[in-house]
Amino acid sequence: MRILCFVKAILDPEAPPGAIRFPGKVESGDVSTVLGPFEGNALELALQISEASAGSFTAVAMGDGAQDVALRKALALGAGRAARIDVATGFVDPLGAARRLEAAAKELGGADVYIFGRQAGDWDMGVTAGLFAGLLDLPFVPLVQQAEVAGEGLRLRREIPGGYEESLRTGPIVLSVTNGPRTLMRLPKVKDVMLANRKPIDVLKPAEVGENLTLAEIAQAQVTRQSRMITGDAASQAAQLAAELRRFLVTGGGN
Amino acid sequence: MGIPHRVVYWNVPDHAWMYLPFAILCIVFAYGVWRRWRVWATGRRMPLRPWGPRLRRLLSHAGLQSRVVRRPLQGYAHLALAVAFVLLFIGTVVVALKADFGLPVMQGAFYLWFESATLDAAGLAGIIALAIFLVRRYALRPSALGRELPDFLVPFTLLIILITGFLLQSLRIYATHDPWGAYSFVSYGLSALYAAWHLSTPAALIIHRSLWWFHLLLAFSFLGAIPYSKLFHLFMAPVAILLSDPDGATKLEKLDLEHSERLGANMLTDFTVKDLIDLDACTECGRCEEACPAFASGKPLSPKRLILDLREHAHERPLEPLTAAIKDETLFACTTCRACMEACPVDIEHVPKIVGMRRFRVMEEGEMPTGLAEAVQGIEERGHPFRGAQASRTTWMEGLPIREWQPGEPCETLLWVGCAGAFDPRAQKVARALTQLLLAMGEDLKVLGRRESCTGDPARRAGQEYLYQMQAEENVKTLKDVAPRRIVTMCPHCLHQLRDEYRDFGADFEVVHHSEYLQAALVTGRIKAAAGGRRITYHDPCYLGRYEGVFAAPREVLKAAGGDVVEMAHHGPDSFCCGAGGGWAFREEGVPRVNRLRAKEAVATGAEVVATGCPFCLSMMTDGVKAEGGGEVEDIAEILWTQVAPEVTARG
Repeated sequence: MRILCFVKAILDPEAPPGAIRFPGKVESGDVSTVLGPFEGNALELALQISEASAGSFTAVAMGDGAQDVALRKALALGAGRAARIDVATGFVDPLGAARRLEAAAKELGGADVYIFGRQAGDWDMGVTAGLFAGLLDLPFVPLVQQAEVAGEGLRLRREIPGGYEESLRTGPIVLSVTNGPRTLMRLPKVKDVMLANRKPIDVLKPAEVGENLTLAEIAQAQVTRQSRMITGDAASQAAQLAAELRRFLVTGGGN
Repeated sequence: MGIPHRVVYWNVPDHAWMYLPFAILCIVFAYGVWRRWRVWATGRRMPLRPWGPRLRRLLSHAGLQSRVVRRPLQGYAHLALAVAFVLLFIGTVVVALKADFGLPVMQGAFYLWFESATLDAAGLAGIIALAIFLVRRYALRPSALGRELPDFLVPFTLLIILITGFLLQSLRIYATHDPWGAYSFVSYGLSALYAAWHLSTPAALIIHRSLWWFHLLLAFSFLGAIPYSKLFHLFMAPVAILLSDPDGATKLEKLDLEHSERLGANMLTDFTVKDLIDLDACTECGRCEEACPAFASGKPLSPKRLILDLREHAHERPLEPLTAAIKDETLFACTTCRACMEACPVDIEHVPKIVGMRRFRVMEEGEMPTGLAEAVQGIEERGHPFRGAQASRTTWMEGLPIREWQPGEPCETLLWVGCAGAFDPRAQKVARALTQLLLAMGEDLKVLGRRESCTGDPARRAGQEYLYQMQAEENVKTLKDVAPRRIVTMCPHCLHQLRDEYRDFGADFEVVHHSEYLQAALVTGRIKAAAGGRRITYHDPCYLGRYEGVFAAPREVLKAAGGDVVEMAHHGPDSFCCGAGGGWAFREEGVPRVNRLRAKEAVATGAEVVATGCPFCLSMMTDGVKAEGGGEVEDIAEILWTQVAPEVTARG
């Protein structure tokens, strides 16, 4: 099976509050760029499918050189090829992104399975995979947690309330992958990490797609924290806590 | 009476037959040694020079058995037995020189005082020592000692050999009316008994002759069994001691990542010769197991079992991967505290083997326990192992009159805060107390702030040598740019890296732990502390004590702060881990937790305050002591600052 796995590196979601500032645009300071959490799940699934079908997969990212972190990780995990659509990293217009990914997919020769993370860990829109499927006129299964190669096709499992559903597809398909026990990204082997650092990353020219959406403003919510210690014996602490909670429910936390 | 002597092979006219079993013994022994040698020979060679420290260690640990006698009863009994057998061996060689080479060595005063009196004393000492061993193993039944058949056969056979030796000698004295018999005082006493029992001379001759062959065959069997049993430690323990790292193997080997065929150890050939000899040097004394915090807290690791499992693997499945012998739960249970290595009388190096095998599992197979993997990933992605940290590298120092070093400026004293000091809210307080102390001393103090990154120690101990080396290279490069006159750190793990392990990456800095620096300042009067008076017990961090040999300085600081220092059951080199080492600081531990065991000891001292000198110990001991109903847990810097702050304020 030919597989394309789309990955994205994002600003460290564990950066402490205030480390990334938004004075009208994003200022990342010293915050490092890391593989997005759901892209780790996507890579794991891509790897499992490629292993089960004795194939390989290609990892594709979109952005500037900072995206190489994600592509190197994909190479270390076993991607046969890595390509980056060379655009400036920043706010993403999902339809524009989907069109560029579509163009890149064509340039790379297409695939049987297109795999996305459920959503980028920074802008959290979660629609690019669906738009991409629409552009290619392919079926789309979101939030996949498990995939098995079944003959020529794929058996895809999603969690539903109180259980799971499985769908079967023979022929090209687009998936988005979410976290689950079977999609936890494995640790790459060090030899593969070292080799990955020497492998080339193909740079693709972005397709001209025009802008559908532009970023008008970005701002950070002001969060204030109020805390106080409840003291006294257990009974008195319980009474005070109950009183506090009652007051909180009535006033919504205001004083 | 003539010159004092005795007839060799008296009453055994057919003694020449003994060369047949002797030849068999030689073949069996040689085969046994070859069987083991072919395993050792597959190990990696390691550098041995300089020999001086190794020979000193050999004299101390093998010759004087300085570690064995730390447990006085069984220790001195073992020393006595060893000396006895060396003497008895010399005595046997003397007999051979006379019997086989006709040399006139076994006569005169030497015969009376050495061959008779000294060897009788040696035999008696040996019997007493063996009786102590047997009583201890089978009457007192310590759990660390095995009670399998070989555990019984070894001391029992030796005992029978010694007893039959005395019986033979006494029968000869009795039957020949040996005029010099009294010099063999034990046998002489026995011969007096035969007289009292009216033992007939013909009967004595028959018993003697039968017993002679029994004694000989038993002794030969015993010697033949040496290379096939734990008795082999007689030969291999001194070799293991000689080959052991003179610095106690505190530094892990720098792995050649580019050229190693395999990263870490998964086949016997990945171990060093020393590692493989260790397996045959183990005496199964169980001291490592008694010292091990992982074993004490019920984790599936006993350092003794680990060595014995590897030994069995080496001899029975030498071509199979080590993962067949050692499970991941065992490998990753180790806190790398080195208590086992400190306790081992024959200098077996457990921790380097464990980390070697971890390296393979982590780097070649991508296996790492949950929690640890996230911490290591944190080091890779953001330069520190703390998940969900709310702070930046400089949050802790807000409001303090210090600043980050700027490129180009000189640096007198660099405070290496460490990730815990920067990101862990409890350790941040220690960093602040220490900074205030250093400022009160008038230090020209700088920190690296955003330029500081994890030393990589948790990654290295976890087996992720690749990430560690990247961190080490980057940090050494930074520090060379800063070129500080000295580095002070409050984290023993950072200390061990910056002072010792980074030397393999070109570092050569003066690095001190804050306890050492504060103690020196107290001695020279750079800081003065007001009288305290609290009862304090000090928990030795493994990486400060057993790894870096710093035991006195923190205690001196506590005394200077007016503390009444009381010791826990385990302290100094025998200290017991808090449970954080080897990556456990970042993992979920089962019950019982190591820190609770250690906290019990701390609370038992009745101390008001538990002091320590490591942010990870601080965190572990705080949880443990709280759960055990004890008092405060503080770093020595906090305790000292409490006593120094009033003096600083008074001076204005």
